[in-house]
Amino acid sequence: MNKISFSSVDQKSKPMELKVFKRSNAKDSVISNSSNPFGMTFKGKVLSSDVFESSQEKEKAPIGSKIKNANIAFCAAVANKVKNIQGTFAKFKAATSGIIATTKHLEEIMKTDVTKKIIGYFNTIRNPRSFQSLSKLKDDFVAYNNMLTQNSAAKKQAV
Amino acid sequence: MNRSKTISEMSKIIEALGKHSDNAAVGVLEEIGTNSSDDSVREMTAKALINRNTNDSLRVVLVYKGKGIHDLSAGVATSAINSLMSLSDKSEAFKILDETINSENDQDVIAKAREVRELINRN
Repeated sequence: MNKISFSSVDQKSKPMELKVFKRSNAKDSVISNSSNPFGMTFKGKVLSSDVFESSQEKEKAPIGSKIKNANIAFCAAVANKVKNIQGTFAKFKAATSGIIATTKHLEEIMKTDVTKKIIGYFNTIRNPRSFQSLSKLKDDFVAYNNMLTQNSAAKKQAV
Repeated sequence: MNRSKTISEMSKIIEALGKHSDNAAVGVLEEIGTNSSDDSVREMTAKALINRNTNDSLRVVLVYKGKGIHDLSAGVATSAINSLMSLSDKSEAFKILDETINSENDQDVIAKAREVRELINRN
């Protein structure tokens, strides 16, 4: 698997694109958990080769390439930015030594399909239940609902 | 397990069901969530169904008596209406409300649908 990261590209020609590049030193591309303000582990994949491409070899990053730790902050920033662009951008910039140049750049990234997919992915991993089967969800839903009903009945009886 | 933990767990289940790729999830939300004796569960369920924004999910909260906007709890009904107004694409909701106003037999359901349609329209 490629070790990939994000970088802003030439802002004059294509200011709103993102490129993915391989790092020669894997450690460079890793942001430790301690410096990651979001405290989350991201095990994502490149979902589209339309936006993410290798800047070194000028070749498309293969779909399915792992998004490494270096992008945790980026992805979290993008995901969180929906609510608070300025605050998240500051956190993101601090965590990545400013890979992304401007808030405007982030705003534009937000509009890409890939970003939407990343946000979707984040929403999924935020709720581990999202990975469960319908039958499991149904069984647990029934069980918890019964628990609530029994608890409130017991409370009423106690009163 | 205390109530707040149970509610928190149910909120995750409801959210997961609301986003589940299998359309049968709507049936589960309707069967268990909208029939729950707990107001907050019904409220979360209505919200999940509205945010799903499909014909079958919206139908549950817009047409079925006692559910969603027709819930007997004013709090649940109001919350459902607020969720509806927050939808970015209300076209399906309008379609169902119009159908309900024109072809439903229950006068209470029609009146509520008309009221909600007017509210959304004004918003």
